Amino acid sequence: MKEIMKISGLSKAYGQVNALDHVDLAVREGEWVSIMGPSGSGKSTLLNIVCGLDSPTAGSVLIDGLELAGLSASDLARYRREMVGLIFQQFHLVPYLNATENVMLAQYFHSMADEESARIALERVGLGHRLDHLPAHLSGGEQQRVCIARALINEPRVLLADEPTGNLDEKNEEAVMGLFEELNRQGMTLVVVTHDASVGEAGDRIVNLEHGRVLVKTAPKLQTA
Amino acid sequence: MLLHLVKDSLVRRRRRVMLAVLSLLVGTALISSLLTVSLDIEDKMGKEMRSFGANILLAPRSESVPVEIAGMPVGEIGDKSFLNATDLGRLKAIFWKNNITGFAPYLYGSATLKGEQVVLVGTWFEHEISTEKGPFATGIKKISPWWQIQGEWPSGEGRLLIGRELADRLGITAGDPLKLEVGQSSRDFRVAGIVSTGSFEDNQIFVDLPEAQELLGLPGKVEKVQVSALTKPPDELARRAQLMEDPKEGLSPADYEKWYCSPYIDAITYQIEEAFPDGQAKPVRQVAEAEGAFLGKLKLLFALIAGMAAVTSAIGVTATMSATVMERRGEIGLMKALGAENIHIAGQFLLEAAAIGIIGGAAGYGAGIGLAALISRQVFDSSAAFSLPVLPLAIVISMAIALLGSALPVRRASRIQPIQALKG
Repeated sequence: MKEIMKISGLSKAYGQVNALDHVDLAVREGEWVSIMGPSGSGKSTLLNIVCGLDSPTAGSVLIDGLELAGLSASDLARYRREMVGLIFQQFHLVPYLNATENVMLAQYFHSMADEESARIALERVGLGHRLDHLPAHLSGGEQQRVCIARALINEPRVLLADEPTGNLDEKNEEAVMGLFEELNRQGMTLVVVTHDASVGEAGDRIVNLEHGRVLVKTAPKLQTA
Repeated sequence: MLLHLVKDSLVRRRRRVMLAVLSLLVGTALISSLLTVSLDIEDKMGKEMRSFGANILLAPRSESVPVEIAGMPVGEIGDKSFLNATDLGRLKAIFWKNNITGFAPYLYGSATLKGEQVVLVGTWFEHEISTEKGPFATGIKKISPWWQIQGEWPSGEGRLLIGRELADRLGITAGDPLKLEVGQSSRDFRVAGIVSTGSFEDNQIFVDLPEAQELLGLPGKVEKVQVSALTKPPDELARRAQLMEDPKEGLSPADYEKWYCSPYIDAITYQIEEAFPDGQAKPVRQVAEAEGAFLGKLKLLFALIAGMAAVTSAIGVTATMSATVMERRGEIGLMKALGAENIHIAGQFLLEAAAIGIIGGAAGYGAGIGLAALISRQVFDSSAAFSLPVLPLAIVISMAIALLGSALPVRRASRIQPIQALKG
């Protein structure tokens, strides 16, 4: 499998504090990588840089051959809408748009909003019966599944999730994890930031961060096997 | 999707939207009312100004030099010339005939009253002439409405007006019989009224023109005509033409046509002279220039008020849109995280502003029509001309104010960093 993501010597400093300190990481196409670590370890900072929402102080982030460092705001926006799908812990759905419209919003910025494909994406995550529901009328798990459908709608190369189960109960966590497993089986590359060991262990590989440095890279599935 | 987002945003924030609409409504109402009033202010102000006196003097063209004392021609160096009273209808046949609101002829002579030499003036008090559009009422009562009459305006034969000072000096009151003597002839009159103008008319006697012509032995003659005309304040073309002896020769054909077909006072006097080859028409400059200067200042005042209204409305829109941007900070951040570029965000806010501008402009136009009617009734005692072209203009102005007022908030929205907005 080819490398779809290659991070080299990545550093991010906030004043005197180094959030990331010379991080190197490579992710292969179709791989599921879990990034774990305690609070303040730099895992969300790493994900934000990979999402193109934040910029590094030094180092390189290469996604499918595209170097993020030095891209303009406009090019970063294009990268976000075309190459990656983002899943947030707080879901971040537009409260006055229903499930279908929330999915169509990502389509609108990408190309053309298409209700039919939004409906198919929601059915794919098991929400075919909740198409017209506003976020306030959906459970946490359902909202996160809308968020996953929105992240998938533009057929991204990589799915980037920040604590995707952090606000979910056990049942909903299982549903979301089931979706991730299915997507990964279908060949989707996943980078999931989590502090939940059970979520992290679902990946092909765990990258542990502490004080902005990569401590260990383990391969739980391989170890289990 | 964009329209859906805009509609949703407008509906959900209706209170805030109403504030912005109200701000635009007030501004646009003021602007469109001033625009409506200013479109026919020249006409309205011209009519108002006409109540302050005639602005054109028509006299016979002659080689002689007239000598006037206290408004009365007392003699001429050379032969005295006259105009014919029967020709005066030509004033209502020139190109700008509709702008001639009235005129009054004058014939001067000297008469004896109670042993005192007095100035006798023959004129039309109220006179009707026939024009191609029907009868036209004119006379001194029409062109000098500020004359104060104690008693009544003369009507019928043998009635006259006597100046206040002269009447007081000779102990004459309204209703008294009088005998006027001119040379060997004399005629009995009755005083219809006593006139006060504060000027030399207070020492004159006014009789109907045919009676003066008969007494003075000058049948059908008049010495000068005061003409009241609605005019347009001079602009660059009018000022250029003013410096020329004959604008027809001095101006280019296109400029000449434009000048001739504009109601500049010089264009009207030019046309009067065309109608009276033996006459000389001159603008009464003080009146004409005072009118122009006043109108210019009034229009400047209107423009300043309109400008202030536009700025105030824009500030109102800025405040409302800024609050909306702050409220939607998280939403903007999310959109950017999903790949929206600044143009997507700006487009959404500007479309909202344009929609608010259209609503505010249309409502402002409606209110402006009412305000214009009120201004016209209170200030000019007339109705405002309903001007449909002002509607699209009001909407365009309102939209421009809304877009201008949204510029700063949109700039703020474009600077929102998605990562910070998403963190809340």
